[in-house]
Amino acid sequence: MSFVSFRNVGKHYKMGEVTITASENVSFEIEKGEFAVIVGASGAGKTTVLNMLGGMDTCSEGSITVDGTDIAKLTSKQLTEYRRHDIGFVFQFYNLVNNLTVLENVELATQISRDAMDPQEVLAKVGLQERMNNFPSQLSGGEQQRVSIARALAKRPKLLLCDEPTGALDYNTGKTILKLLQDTCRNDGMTVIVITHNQAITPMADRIITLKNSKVENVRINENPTDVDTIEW
Amino acid sequence: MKDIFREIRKSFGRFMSIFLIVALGTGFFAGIKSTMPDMKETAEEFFEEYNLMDIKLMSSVGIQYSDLREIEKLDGIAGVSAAYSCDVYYNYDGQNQVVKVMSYDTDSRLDSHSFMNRPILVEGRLPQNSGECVVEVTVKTPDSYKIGNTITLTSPRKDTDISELFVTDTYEIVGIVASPLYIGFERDATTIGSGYVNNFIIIPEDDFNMSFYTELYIRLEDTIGMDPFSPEYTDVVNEKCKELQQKFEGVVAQRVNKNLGDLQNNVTSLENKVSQLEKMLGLSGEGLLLYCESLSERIGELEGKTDALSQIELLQKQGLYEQAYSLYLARENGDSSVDNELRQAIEKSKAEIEATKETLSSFEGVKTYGFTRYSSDDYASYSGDSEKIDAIAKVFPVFFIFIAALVCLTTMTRMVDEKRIEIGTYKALGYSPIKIISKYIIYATIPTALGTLIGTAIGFKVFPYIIYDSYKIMYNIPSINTPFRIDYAVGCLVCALLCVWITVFASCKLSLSAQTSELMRPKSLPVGRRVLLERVGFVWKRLSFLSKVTLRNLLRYKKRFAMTLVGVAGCTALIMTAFGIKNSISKVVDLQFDYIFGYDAISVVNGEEELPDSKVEDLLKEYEEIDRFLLMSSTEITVEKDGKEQSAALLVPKEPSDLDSFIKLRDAENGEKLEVKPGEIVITEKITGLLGIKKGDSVTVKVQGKDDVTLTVSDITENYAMHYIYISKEDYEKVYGEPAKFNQAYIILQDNADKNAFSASLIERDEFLGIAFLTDKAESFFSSIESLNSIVLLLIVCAALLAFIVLYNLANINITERVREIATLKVLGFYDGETSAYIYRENILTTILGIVFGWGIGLILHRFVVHTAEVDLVMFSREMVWYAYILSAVLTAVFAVIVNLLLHVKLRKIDMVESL
Repeated sequence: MSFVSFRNVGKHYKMGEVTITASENVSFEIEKGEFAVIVGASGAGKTTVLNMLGGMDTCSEGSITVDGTDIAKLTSKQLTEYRRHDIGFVFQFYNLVNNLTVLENVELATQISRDAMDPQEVLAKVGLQERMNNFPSQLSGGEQQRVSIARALAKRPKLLLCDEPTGALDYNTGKTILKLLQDTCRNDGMTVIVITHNQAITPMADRIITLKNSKVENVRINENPTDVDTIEW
Repeated sequence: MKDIFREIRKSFGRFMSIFLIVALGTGFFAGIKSTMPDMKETAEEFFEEYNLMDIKLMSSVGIQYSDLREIEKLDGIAGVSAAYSCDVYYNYDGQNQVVKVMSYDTDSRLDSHSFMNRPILVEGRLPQNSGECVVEVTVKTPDSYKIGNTITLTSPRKDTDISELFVTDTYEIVGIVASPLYIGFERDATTIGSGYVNNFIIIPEDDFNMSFYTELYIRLEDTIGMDPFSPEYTDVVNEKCKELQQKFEGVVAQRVNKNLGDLQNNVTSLENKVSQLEKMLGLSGEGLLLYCESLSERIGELEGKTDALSQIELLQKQGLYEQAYSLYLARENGDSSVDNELRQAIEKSKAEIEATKETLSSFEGVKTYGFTRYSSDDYASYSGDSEKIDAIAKVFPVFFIFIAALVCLTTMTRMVDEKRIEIGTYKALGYSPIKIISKYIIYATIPTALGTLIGTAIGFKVFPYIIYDSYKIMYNIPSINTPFRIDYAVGCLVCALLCVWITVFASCKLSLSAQTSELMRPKSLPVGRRVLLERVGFVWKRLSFLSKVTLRNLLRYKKRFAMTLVGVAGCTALIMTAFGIKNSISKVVDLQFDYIFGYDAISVVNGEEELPDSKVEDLLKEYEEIDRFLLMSSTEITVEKDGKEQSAALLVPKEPSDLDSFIKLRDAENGEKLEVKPGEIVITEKITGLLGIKKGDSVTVKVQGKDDVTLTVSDITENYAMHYIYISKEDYEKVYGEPAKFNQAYIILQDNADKNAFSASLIERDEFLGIAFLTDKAESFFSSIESLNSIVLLLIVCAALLAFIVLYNLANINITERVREIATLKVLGFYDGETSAYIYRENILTTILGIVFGWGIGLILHRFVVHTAEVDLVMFSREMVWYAYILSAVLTAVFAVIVNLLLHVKLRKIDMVESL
């Protein structure tokens, strides 16, 4: 069985009398240590997939297995635990706590997880050992996103989920962030899933899942992922 | 407009929080503020309706109808009437109660200003026929005071029969009334019995048998329609009272002098008659004939004259002639009966001369007395009490309004912040700033205006009513009028609106001045900053990670932190004050009646019996129930200093060395034991504060029927209820020139004594007029001040409401402002409990800090309220009781916990999607 697998997952919202389908019959698989990109235009159902995969929302039908656990069947408390220990989340707008220093933002995650990495070590890894005691507002966007990644990695998650990690960044900074994510995947064997609308990123991924109209349009395995440096958009 | 209503529906919580806090703030302010005018206006209407006199005149020789006619002629008199009153006994349950009997003119016309002090009919009807009376019913009056019962009055003096005072001594009760003359507990002092009038009854004027009126009541033209508590009223009445008293004295003196002259003339003519008769008896036959002749000559001369004097002389001479001639004739016949007759006539005349001379010599001259409404302590204290509430209104409601303003400020600022993007959109669309602002102005105006309207409408009714209710026990003025005061309401509205408008305007201005493009982006949260504590490395390092976060967060939102602190502190302070006052009040009873007063009962010695002190002591020694006793002289006095007056009692212990076990005298400042020694005059603490007396000051002491004397205070003693001056018998004799009459016996009973049996057997004796147990006194005293409980409750309820609104509102803002942060925490895998705790830790810390601050504020507030809420007769304990600290903290914490529980629900509902 694959590390992550979606089987016939559907998600429907009831808005008054109308039922809106956000995901319909979504099925795909991602192997451990892969760098996967879920790509689609806005409204294609990317966020819904992300929410369900991240344990932030439940699906209406089907099953979602992560490392052998069907998270579609978890209670809200178990979901919290799942988020706590298994998922590292990287946000589009970084979502750092403004009032905490860089180090403290990482500590915010490590102090609640069982087998956390040393915050300072993680920060050194993302190249921010010099800025550890700065507040987020004193950092550039790219640096903030690196803190966000460090915070996600520090928990030693099974899965790194990134929601438009480059969405709020300029071209060059975006690239360095993607490089960092790719390196993390390659060097540490971390399973990384990036959600984006940007088709240009796809060549660097091991697996590309294209969503359209709440459905999976196709799943493509990229046997020879390119290096981040060589892709342009 | 549609947009606004939609906005209100969407943000109903915010709308309500502005509405509630404005309603609470303005309601509290307007309610308390209107209590004083409500109370005063109610009293004013009451006095006007029942036509309370302005001035009462009395004289030592009574008042005749002719005096009334003279006074009536003077300028500025709207009405004048003469009335009888007389203090007598009514024996109830073996005890002689002093009853003041007043007259009621059954022919009075209701539209006349001369019909003063009209009885207020509570039940039944007013007296119409002889033998009918109406009574008052208070906690002190006998249980037999019920319509249909009859009461029998007895004379207080052995040498006066009741029939000399009244037509009949038995009266049927036909109604229950109150009198505007007595609005409070206090009745007049009297010279009989216990020294206090217990109650009054009113009988028809015609049932009085007295030869003169005792009171002259006057209503002034100038004061009709004038605010009776205003300084102008006092000025007018005081001036007029002096003037009228002088004129009255002149009128009475003239009448009396005329009477005295008549008496003197009478004496002269009697003396003349006696000497003529004696001369007649001394003459023999011949001489008698010559005497007759000289008389008849004179008679002949006088017969021609027509003037009055001659006519009178003629009558006298004719009488003498007849007596002389009949004497002559009788003697001629050897009959001595006429001799004897004449001798008897001489004796009779001589006796009459003696009696009249004594009357003349014993006449001490005319003394007159003038009184105003303020001569009644209750009248002054009613005004004082209402002003005290006004003083409280200066602190509490201002505090509430302050918090209300702060809450509105944060709420509206928050709203405008939230709507940045919308404001930016409008701006981008080309709306003028005024148009954009007006939406928020209107949004804020609706709950503010509604809140003010509803808040004041409720406040005007509820607060005066509750506060008045607690004073109602002390005053018998009927229920309070609570009009809606447009001026106060408009004032509140203007203030509230201005406050809200300025807030909205200022925060909108800030948003509007920003670049449109900037507005389109969400406002960044305040940047992180290091707190001062971080510099103190050794403390900071020891703190857990989460406490560091808490501390930093608290200090990040300084404004909100400060406001929450103020809200919580206010809540704690109010609750602490409420419990503190309650304790301070109830402690008075313990301190006064348990600690300071050590005696069990006071028995009043019957002054009419003229018993020597040793006889009284022997009598008391016979009682097995008595452990110890002390004879005491107690006199009702008025203490005056710099024009201010207070009623008090002058106590003279017979054995000063025994006093300590009956009444503890302790220096008010250092608690040292004080003694009543010659030259040492001890006064109680509260009155020194009221009249501004310091050690070494002199005060004037007035006693009815005695000359005013001046005493110099040497010590001030701890005391909580009533006012007393303690002096030694030597000093008493020195200032009054006569020894003190020991008219009371202070008694300490054996532990196992049967109180009822003892009091029954004591009352049976003529030597004692009655007995009053301290426990009864303490109870009635307690029930009268216990009424303040409702005010305490009111404060607690308001504090709770305040705490809820402020805490909930602020915590709510705290959450909505940080939704993204909280959602992120959830995504990071914080459990619900942990997420809540992350926010709660801040709330808990603020609450704890707030409680500590609140204690400080509470101490100050308590001191202030105790000071202003005291009635003149009572001094509350100044100490803050320990449990007020605990209860205020616990209740505040409970309120905070409830608010936090509500928030927990809200926190759980936050969607993690918000973080994206």
